[in-house]
Amino acid sequence: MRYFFRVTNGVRELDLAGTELLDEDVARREAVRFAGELLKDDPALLDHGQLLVSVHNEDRSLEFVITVRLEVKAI
Amino acid sequence: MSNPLLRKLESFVKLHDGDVDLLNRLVARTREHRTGTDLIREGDRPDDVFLLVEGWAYRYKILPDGSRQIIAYLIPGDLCDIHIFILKEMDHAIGLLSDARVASISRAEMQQILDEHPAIAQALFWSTLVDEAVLREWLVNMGQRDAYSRIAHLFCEMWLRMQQVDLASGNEFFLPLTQEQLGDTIGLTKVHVNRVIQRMRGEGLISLTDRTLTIHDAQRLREIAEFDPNYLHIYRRS
Repeated sequence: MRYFFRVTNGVRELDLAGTELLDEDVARREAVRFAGELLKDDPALLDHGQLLVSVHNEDRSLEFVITVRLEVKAI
Repeated sequence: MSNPLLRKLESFVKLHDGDVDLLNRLVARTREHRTGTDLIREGDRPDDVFLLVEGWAYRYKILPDGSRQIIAYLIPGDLCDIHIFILKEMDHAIGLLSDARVASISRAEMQQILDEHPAIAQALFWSTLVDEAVLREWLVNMGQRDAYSRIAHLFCEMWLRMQQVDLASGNEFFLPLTQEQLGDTIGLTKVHVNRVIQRMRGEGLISLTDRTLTIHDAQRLREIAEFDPNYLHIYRRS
């Protein structure tokens, strides 16, 4: 099945081609790992907002979002 | 078609006629292997040394949970370890990334080559050291570079290695890797690999079709990769 991954961090980035993945479970795990990889490469992604990884399948019968946010409780 | 092993070794050492004849004989006796098959599996007892004459192969391990780590690529001219037969069993598998032609060198033959052809012997030891240096660089690549630089670095390396054996005409060469295989090599999800490739395309750095990589902006790619080819130890003989 084809799944489309969109990264949002200020500027929205579209995924036009999509990726072939086995099923919904795999898509969820890949999305979490993907978000982790993006943050590992660039911690500054959370400096001024949040990171969103949005995923949907071809007919949009499945859609989910991973949101990562840094909350400052005290300065 | 030129002899990739000859191209590779003669860049390092001066070979005599007897050496050249031997190397030409070695690549003449090959067997065909289909993509997706294995040359040898983890746990198998190694006998012969494999020499890749045409196509790409790869070293890999499968973990108990089914995930795969690709440890090295073998391109034409690469051998799978000169003294592999010393080991009782393989600690990894070697498979084919494309259809390939592979030559097998028996233990006795290898010993004879090392005994009777000192120039070839020295060149083979050099190539073993280079293989180890490549592994060290891959460790650095995995541990320290971000996704974009990691893939750029790998592309720069494979381009240079293919040039070394006369298999890169201009700025394009055979690269039979799926995005999943790339991900299994550099420790990234295939989603991430896909994103990096799209970005490289969008920035005019590369074109990547099914089995061909074309590098449009080599200088920029090397900058992104912080690529220093010192670890490949490509010494030009004067």
